[in-house]
Amino acid sequence: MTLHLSDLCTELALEHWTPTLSLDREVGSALVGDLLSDVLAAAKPGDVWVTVQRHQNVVAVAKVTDLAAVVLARGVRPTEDVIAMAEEQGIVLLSSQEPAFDVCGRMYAVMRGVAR
Amino acid sequence: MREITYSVRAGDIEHGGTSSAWLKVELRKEGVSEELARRAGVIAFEGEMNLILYATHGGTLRVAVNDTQIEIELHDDGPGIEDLDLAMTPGYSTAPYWAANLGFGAGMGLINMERNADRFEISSRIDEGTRIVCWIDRRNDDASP
Repeated sequence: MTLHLSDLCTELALEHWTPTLSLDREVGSALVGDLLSDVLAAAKPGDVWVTVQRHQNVVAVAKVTDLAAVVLARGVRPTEDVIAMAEEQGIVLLSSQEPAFDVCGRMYAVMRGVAR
Repeated sequence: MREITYSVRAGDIEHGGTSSAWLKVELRKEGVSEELARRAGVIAFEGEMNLILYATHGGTLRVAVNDTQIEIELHDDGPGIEDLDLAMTPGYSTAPYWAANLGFGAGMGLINMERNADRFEISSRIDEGTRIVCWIDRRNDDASP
């Protein structure tokens, strides 16, 4: 069964900050990290990136590596300028109230079809 | 595009990184494949961040593309890197604490640039500046004309 960003949003109760962008992209892999160079080195196209960084460079990193979405964990909210840049660059911004550990755990379960 | 130059201002870290995102858009318009545009984008992002974080007066990011290669040049006028071997060591960083909090200073910037380039050159002189040139070969790129 294919999983789309919209399914991920529903399953993990994620907030969507870039409503002009579609949630149709298929997803199946993710990475977590707050060091930008590490993400640049490890990210694969189509990954979902879980982080607590929220400045504009996050959008640039996601754009450069062609990520499906950025999930801001632990209640981090993007600022207006970051949302504007994300919409301009076509980067889906999501957020969760839960810490990165729990976001990743739930996401792993949904992506790999593991029983929760 | 063919050639494009971005001026990068020193210090403005939270608003940096934008040139590399736009560069990727421009390279795709030029017919560069997603994969090579990603590699160029990583090089540009790391280079741009180095100019913002470390170069006294910022610097320039210049990208030239033709049918056979993408050339990315980063240039600043100081302070220069004292020990290039040390600077190229994975994990070595002189990033200040506030920058580390924003996710910089992994000590992987120059390494990421080198790894994504087919050819990488760096030269630096104290008080004169640093120049980095990276080349990406387009001859085996599927999206090339």
